[in-house]
Amino acid sequence: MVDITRRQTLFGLATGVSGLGGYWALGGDWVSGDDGAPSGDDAEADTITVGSPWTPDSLDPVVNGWLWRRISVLEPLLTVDYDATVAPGLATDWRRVDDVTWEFDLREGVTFHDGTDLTATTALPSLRRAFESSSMASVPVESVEAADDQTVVIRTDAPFSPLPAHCTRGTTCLVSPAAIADDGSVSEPIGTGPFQFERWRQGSSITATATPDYHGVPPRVETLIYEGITDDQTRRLKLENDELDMARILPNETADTLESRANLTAHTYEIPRARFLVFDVDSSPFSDRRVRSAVMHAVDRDAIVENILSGLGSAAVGPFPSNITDWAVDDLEPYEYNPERARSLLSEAGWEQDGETRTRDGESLSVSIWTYNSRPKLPTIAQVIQRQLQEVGFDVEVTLMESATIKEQAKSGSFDAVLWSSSVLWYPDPDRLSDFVHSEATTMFSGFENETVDRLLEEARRTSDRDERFERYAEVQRIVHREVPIGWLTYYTNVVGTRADIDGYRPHPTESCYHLENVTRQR
Amino acid sequence: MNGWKLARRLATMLVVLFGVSVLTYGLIFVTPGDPARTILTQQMGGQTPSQEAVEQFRAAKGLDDPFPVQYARWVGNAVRGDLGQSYYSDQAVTAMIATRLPNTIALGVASMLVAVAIAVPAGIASAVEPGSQTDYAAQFGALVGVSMPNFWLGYLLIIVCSLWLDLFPVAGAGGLEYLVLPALTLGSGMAAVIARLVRTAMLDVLDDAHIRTARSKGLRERIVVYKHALRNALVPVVTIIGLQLSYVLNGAVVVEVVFQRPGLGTLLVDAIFARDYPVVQGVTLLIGVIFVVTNFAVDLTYSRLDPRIDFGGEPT
Repeated sequence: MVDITRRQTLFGLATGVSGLGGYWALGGDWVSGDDGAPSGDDAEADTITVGSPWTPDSLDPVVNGWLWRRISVLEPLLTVDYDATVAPGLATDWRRVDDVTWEFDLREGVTFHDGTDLTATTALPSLRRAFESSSMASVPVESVEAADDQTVVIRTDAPFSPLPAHCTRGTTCLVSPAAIADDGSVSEPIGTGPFQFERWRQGSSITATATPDYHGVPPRVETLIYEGITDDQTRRLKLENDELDMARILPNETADTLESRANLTAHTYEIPRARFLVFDVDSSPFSDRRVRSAVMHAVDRDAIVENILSGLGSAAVGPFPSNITDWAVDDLEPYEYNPERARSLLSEAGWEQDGETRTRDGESLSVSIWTYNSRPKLPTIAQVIQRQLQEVGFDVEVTLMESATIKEQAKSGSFDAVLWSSSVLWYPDPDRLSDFVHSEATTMFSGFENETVDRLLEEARRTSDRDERFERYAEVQRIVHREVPIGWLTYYTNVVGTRADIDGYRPHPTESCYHLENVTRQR
Repeated sequence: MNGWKLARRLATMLVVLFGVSVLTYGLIFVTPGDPARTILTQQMGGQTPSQEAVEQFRAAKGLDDPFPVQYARWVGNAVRGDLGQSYYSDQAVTAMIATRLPNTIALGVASMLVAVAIAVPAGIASAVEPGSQTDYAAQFGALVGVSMPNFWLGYLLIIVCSLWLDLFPVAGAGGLEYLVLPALTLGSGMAAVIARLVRTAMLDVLDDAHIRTARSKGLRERIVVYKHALRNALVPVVTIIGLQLSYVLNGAVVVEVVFQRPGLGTLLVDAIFARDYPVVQGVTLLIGVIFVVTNFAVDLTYSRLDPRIDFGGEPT
């Protein structure tokens, strides 16, 4: 009997060990074969490995195009320049023929990675597929046609001047017609970029190699490996252990440590993303503009940047950071940190100090700030705001929820304030403001309704002339600044760590592309 | 075991799995958060989708149907072996599970080996001389092991073993060298629990009459401990090892994130956050199957370890 136990135990152990042995013998990957990690110095010098928080989940441009565009495998019709404006991409030129018709001239001499030439005909299938997809549903495209061999014509239902900006989005990246199966799915990202797709390890990494005969400046390295690493500490540790050449989006507080290492470099740069408070303008107490302004005067935004963001970032004034984009209006008067002013605004609005918390007609000035923790720092910032608002007589409760839950509850019912973080220019057009403050088109949830703002946004959406558009968006920014349905707090600064021997990396403000084709390694 | 008992057992398993699927579908359905909204947000690189986009998506995925209709559709496909497609990536759920399952199995098996290899000797050593320094050391180690959060131990091991000693890579899913640190991280927590149980069980058994008999026969202490006592102490230990499976799956979520291993834990958590119903359902069902099968296997082991236990539960 005792022997059976021992035999069982040994058998169990042997099964386990041989199972692991088998796992190892198969290169540790039962599914996709070798792990492609190059060894030896020569191979290494020709490979760039970049680690980012997002795991590659799909090969389809409609699902994950933004990622394939970032690593230069797929390219859209138009691109985003370093000054956050629309620039040529696979289309060299574009013009508005009439209110609803746009023409795009395709670049000559471009071939897809499978050898197919880029023509209007071969561009149509993926463009149509993109504009029919759910994520482009707010772009009113009616038809996509070929006018001649190298000209694509896009018609919209209504005049829509942000169209070129939407043609920079990852969703609209072009793939070869051969990549689109009969059922409309995309099984391989066969694009036109400087890197071509080689291997995908689901949920983990992408390997791409330099495209021979690329239509632009060819990549300076042979192989690009993209790794999805959710955990920011793991990204940083892998960078320190030479397993990555570039680790993207590291915590602010690591910038100094990285700089102090001889073999590492920290790149810090501002991006058009903001942290802000969305007020419910339909319910007490934030239905009163004076109470909203009081919050803006009570919060010390510079202190938040200094103490919580390790000095990286800047206090926001309007929605757009002026050193990134010309769409920012520069005559907004910042809400200065002034608790006295906040107190008098609250008193003016009828909220009188009565003990620690102010009251009005027996109702106390109690508010709840909702935020979420999938963006680091937001909960900490909410606590600082809580403390600063208490100083002027608010009673504040901070509630952490999942971001999806916040959106749903804030849209369907009443709330007080939400601390949110969002890109303000993820497609390079100020029409993005509609998402924040248009009474109907909004994807935010303040409940703000202002006829002038709606009219200006709609006019600007129809008009082509840049100056006329700017005037309207500037006015919208001024009104929103005065009315404060949204209180802008801080902008973002990204920290990207690289090995010190990485040359030629230039951070892109909207991060639409990492431009790793320009990066090389010193020998 | 006879055929009839086995059939009854299988029928119970099916009922359990059905219950699991109704519960998860129901729970995720009442959880706030619209799949259309969350998934489109991800597809748009983190941006909030427009109302048009959300409506189009809901219509395309049949999300406007009432709960019973959606559930019936899912069950109808599932019994035919079709677990559906991810709302997010349109990939077949079975394929997504297939690519990640090997990583989780490897992690589970390796960490269980680590746990048993540490726990059984440590537990025996403590039990043989209770109150000795060895005992205190082992118990202290177990306390530390239970209390230490996985992610923290993970970073600690990375810093010491990868950055300082340069023994293993920091993270990634590759060969055996990538498995060592995650298995140690996950295994040490389990080892602590198992070691304490081995100790208690051994102390109980060592007091038994048959041990006194064995000793009075003049058997060597080693034989007494390993042949006579350990075997009897194994029943609760095997149970706890089976139960620790839940710990493997729980812990796998954190360990898979820290060590960048695409596995079931991360797949499930990501799918829950995205409200990707088909993926959540598929993974939960698989986990249900694993649990039911493991419990069955544990029951079978009892009757081998202790002939008085019949796997049907009735004494023979």
